[in-house]
Amino acid sequence: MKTLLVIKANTFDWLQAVFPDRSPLLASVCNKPLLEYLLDFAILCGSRHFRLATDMPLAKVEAVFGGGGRWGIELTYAPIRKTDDLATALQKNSRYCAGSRLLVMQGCFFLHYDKQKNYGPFMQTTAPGELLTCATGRILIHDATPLKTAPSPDGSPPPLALTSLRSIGELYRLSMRVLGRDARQYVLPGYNNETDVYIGRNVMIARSARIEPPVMIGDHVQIHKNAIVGPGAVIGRNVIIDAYSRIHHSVILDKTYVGEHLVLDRKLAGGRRLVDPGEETMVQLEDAHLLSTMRPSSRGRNRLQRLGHGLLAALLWVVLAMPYALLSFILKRQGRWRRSEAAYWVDSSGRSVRLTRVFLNPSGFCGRIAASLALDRYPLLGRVMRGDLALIGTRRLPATAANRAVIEADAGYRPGLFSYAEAEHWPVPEYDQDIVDRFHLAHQTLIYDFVMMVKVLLNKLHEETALCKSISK
Amino acid sequence: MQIDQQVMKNIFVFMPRGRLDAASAPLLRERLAAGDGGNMVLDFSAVDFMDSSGLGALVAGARRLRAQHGDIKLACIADTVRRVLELTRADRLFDIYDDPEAAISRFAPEKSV
Repeated sequence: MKTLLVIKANTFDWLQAVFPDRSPLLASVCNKPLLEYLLDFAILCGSRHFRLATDMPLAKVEAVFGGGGRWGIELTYAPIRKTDDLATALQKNSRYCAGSRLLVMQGCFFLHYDKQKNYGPFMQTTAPGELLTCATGRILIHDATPLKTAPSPDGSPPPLALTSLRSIGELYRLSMRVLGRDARQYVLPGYNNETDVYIGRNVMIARSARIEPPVMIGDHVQIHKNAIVGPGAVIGRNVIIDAYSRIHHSVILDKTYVGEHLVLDRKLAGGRRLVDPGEETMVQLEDAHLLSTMRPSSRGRNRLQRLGHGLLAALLWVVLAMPYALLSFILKRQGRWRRSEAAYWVDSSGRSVRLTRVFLNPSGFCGRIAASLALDRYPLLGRVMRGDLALIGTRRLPATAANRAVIEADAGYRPGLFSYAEAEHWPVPEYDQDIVDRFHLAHQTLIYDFVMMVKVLLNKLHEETALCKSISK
Repeated sequence: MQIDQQVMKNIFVFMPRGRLDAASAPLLRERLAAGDGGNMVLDFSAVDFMDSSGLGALVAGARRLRAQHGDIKLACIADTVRRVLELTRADRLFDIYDDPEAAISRFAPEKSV
């Protein structure tokens, strides 16, 4: 038996609205991704081949699940488009789906099963068609071949049910239910020596801190002095609960810092966002000492890169100072040099600055030279030296609400004075520029950026030389 | 790089072999341009590497074909190629199949070359 899981981004809109920076495919219940529950169930059904077809980014999921070796299965991935229905998804994976009974799980739901039961015979003898359905998903069995054995009339089917997931409140209530009532039905992560207490690896608990079951604590967690965790607390991975804090009937998502003396009761917290699951309301805390996101430290690398870009910008600033002063003066007099200012996002945390834009008319001798030296970017070199912009990076996005949503969901936003697309001759729409920008950003190093920068400058020079030749012809 | 070509059910099927990089991208670009508004399937089963130049040829070819009311579907992409498409979100531009014949059958008959 094989398993095909079809999950589309729109089924997780409710989660993306609250936590846009978290991968919906890794949404978890009791520190276990929803996807892993489905894997476990498929394994209980006797499936050893599993394919995830989705229109969402897979990099983070692949980093966690890999090829499925940890579960002794083969896990593969297939991209689909957001307009694809189930029939199209099946057709796109027709080679995978052929030749075997297929368990199809489609949508966003939680699957209730019991790890003690053997679902293999039940799945092998159940007639093809829809097995279970809920408002947000369904489970089907596809099989072109006739059943080998008839279903046993006396055997009662093992427990199996779906719960719809349509809101953050439902996810919270599910976590509380699994922790408090159904924990024995599933393989949950963590060391479980004491009843209803699950503790992950590398957990530091201060002697004066109190743990009250049921409680689940993820890997790499610090619980500081006099903090009280539980009853009914799910603490994710890489979390710090600072001194004197109290966490009751609450879920703390991965990579969250909970400040001192903070009392969380019936809440769901992730990064700076605090959700009341009952009211379905969310607040974002501005005070990082209360609640904030823990990020892996990349300060050293970032600083080095910023320094490298800044030094190169300073060099260009010095070299181009005279041509800039002279040509901008002449072009201004000729009416071929206009300046304006607009606000742009400068990082993915939502910081914006006003940047000068120069509109340069490259006709005429002076205009061509100014364009070939990219003097229209000269006023922005100061921003590179100050670290607001990279010398070369992604396309700069104007500071609009729509673009804010784009950069919040996209960790790979690093606006540059020049974009990588300019080094590649991509005279194409903006979306295509973003494609090449993302490619290079993923591969960039300081030397790589230097090489790409040289390519941009050579391209500029070449474009103007080619233009001169075509005009002279 | 070598690009095998065949016509199946009136659809061009191209099968590039090897690395799709700056050296081989112009060849792919040329083949896609020769499609002249028709429908195509690119069987990537023998492509194990693609860089930004290859990606550029692919995206530009798809844009051009679509402007001429044609289309490209991809088939049998390796994980390395899938990751590049995904990383750059170019996967949103293409229908990707694990079987070239399924890709061919998706083209409506009236859209064939």
